[in-house]
Amino acid sequence: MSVGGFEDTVFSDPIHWTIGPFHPILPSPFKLSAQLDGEIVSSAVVHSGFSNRGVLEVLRRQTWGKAIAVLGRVDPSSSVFSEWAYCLAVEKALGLELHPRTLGIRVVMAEVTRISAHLYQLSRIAQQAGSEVAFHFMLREREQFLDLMELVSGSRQSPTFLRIGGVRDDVSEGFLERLQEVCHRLLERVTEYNDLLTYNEAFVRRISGKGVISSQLVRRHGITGIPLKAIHTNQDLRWLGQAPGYELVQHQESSRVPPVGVEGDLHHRFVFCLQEMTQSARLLQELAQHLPAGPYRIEGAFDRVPPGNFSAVVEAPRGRLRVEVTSDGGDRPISLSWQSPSVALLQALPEYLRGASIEDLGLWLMSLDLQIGEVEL
Amino acid sequence: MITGSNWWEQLQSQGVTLLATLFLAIYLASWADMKVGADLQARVGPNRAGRAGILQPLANFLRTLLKVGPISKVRKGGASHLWWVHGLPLFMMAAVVPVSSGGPLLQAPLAIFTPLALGLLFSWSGLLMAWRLECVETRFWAIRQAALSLAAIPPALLSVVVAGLEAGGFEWAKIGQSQEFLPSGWILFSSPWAFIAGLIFFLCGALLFSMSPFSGAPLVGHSALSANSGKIGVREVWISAGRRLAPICWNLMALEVFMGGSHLPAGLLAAAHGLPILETAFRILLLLLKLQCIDIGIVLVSRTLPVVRVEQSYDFAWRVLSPAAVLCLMAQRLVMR
Amino acid sequence: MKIGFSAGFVEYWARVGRSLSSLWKAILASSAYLGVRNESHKELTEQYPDLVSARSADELPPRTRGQLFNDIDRCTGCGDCVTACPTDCIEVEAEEGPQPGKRWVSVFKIDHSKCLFCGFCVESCAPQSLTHTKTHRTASRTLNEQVLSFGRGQASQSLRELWRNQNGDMSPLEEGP
Repeated sequence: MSVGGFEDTVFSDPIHWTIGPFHPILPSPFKLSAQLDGEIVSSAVVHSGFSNRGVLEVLRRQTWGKAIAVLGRVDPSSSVFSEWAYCLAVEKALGLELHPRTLGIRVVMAEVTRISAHLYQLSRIAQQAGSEVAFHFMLREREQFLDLMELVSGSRQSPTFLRIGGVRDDVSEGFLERLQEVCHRLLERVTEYNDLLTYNEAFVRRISGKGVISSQLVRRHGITGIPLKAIHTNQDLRWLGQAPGYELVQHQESSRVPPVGVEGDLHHRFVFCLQEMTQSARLLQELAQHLPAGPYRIEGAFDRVPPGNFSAVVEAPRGRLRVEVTSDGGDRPISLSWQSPSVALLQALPEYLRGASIEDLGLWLMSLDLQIGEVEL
Repeated sequence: MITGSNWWEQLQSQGVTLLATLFLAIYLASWADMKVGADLQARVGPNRAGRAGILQPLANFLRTLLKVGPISKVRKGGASHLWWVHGLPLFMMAAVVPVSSGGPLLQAPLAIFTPLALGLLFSWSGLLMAWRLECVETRFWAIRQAALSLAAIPPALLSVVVAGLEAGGFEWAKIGQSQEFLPSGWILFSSPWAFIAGLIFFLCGALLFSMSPFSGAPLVGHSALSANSGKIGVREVWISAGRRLAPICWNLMALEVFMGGSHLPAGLLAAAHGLPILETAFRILLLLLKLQCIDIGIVLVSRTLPVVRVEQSYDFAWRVLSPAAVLCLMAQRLVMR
Repeated sequence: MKIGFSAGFVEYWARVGRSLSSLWKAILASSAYLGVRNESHKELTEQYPDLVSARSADELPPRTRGQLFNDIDRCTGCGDCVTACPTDCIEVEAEEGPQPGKRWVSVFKIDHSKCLFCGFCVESCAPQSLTHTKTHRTASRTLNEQVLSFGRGQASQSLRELWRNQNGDMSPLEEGP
């Protein structure tokens, strides 16, 4: 990257600016080549590939059961969903019918992960906005949820907790009471976050009307997750009956959040993310009281899977994660297709960034909840 | 307030007072920023260097010195470049200390406007550093900073005019004589428009020196200013030291103009028994106390609020601060007539 | 956006009002933490590596998956953990031991630099000799230090002789290592 003298910088010649692969404003390691017209981004090109870890290659050596450990580490912040999608696909192949307690425990772990992922996302936006207090406060709550994960599974972020046909262990003693305490405290804290950040006039004026992911953009690139649900609140797989386990809780639909600025803008998505998080907290409080009794695992080896293609979709915090496994009847998957929600966001990135001022670039990028690790595997 | 034949002693004591206050104030301000800021954010903050981390600013300073290379290393070759690039920040750094400490010493008719010129000079030092670093985001930040400083100067100017008119003159002597130790005797509380003018003056300081929440988008430009960046050199150390010094100087000037300066209560003055050293010490302590109170307030606001975009800062300066300052001036003229 | 003067005037003051109220609420929310420390105003950070306040093994939950430990006395050398490991970080070598059916586990190495701490090996261990400890501070300067060895080492000639004598086996000893 070369920047010329005074004239080049000030007198609006388009400038080429390369950001990355490591930069404080990027959500994940990738390179962004932006063409600047003055201070506004006129076009952007994304170069990815810096995070390729060769997961598919590692998977060749894994059997059906062992693959869970590897796939759980594709996206560390929403690990349970990766395991869940894979297990659902394999269970579909084996034709297993899960015990109700298994479904309940899986939903509990998933929602705890969802809350911690959303808190992480919101805290990163807060950091980009310069609100250090909100950043630290959100991380403090997140610590409590990670501790909950550790109580049950033994690990804070990569629980490796799901198994084909069930979960590894039952919930530990005292877990459900602690879960209710933590959720209750989170719901109290949301008022603090609102005072500090969400409805802070400076923050609102900074981000409302900016970073719009419109309905057309969503449709054109197949974006799922918060950008989709903020505009079309009925597009949540959990309430469309396509996520097993959610029938255990009272049917909930996200209430529509009226946008302060434009629908689909940064502020709208921020508030929706906060709302989804509180919805998950209430869901957990309800489920903790009514978790079905029974076995938590179907005993069996499940070494071999019948031949064919089997797929499953889950509503992960970032969006819809679709996994397709192909079996030849052997003891290991012969191919795996991993369609993560970040793929669509990465595709939409150049169009999304057009018109961003470089001062706000950090906020625009960080609000996308993009994880390059699950795109590149 | 230097009068009489023993002007040299008075000069010395005033100069020493303000110099000592400045350096102690920077130290305490850094510590308060770290510790009180951490407290607000539910963190522990520095607690290793000294009790409650009181020696942490010293530790940071020593670490910065160790990281900085020899003064002869330049990024672009050329002795002329060395001169003006090194010389200018050195001058600015050195110029603030004696001039601001000499601020109250100058008895020129418009002496109280000198801090404004200094403020402008300091905020433009960012431009200097940005040009040298050849970094896109730093350059844009520097241009925005320069524009913001121009927006902040008119309200600051007007608020100083209000203070001067309230005091009856623009010399330091007049300002000093019109104020007392007690808050009721301060220019800040002498009338509602003087109070608003004082607030405007503080806010303009925050804008000029890009203190949070007016710091704009930090991006990578600011990380180059920190000691942890690989781009650190002597120039950056001087400039960043100057940038830390500048708000303190500004607040000190605000203290002198609006909040009673270093006027001691009669009792304390008597307790000094006429000893200049004791009197100087009391004055330093009083100034430090006032500065720390202001500083805690600044930390409370700056560490809590999200950072605003630079257009919002200009907006604030042009559309809120400037009209408010004009209104204060008009109100004062009406009443004084 | 064109709006009338009076509407603009009202909007201007409404904005000023909202800004001041945001400022006040934000300061109230954060200053509640100034100097106050109790259950609902806890600190986010902990002192590290101060042994007093940092998390000790006792504070961690019982299921914490820390560094692995193999109780070699219970270990049968079956190798199920080797099969279960996704990253092939366990190396086991076992030979016939003192009694028939009791194997001598000569090599049992776990390379913790490859270990995912997933727990599959612990789950697969039938005699339950392999367990997770709660040790999580395992940083080292070289990769070699990450390999933990629990094996008993190769049985020497004299030891094998001893076993044979104990078992009353008078057949000639095979050449061993």
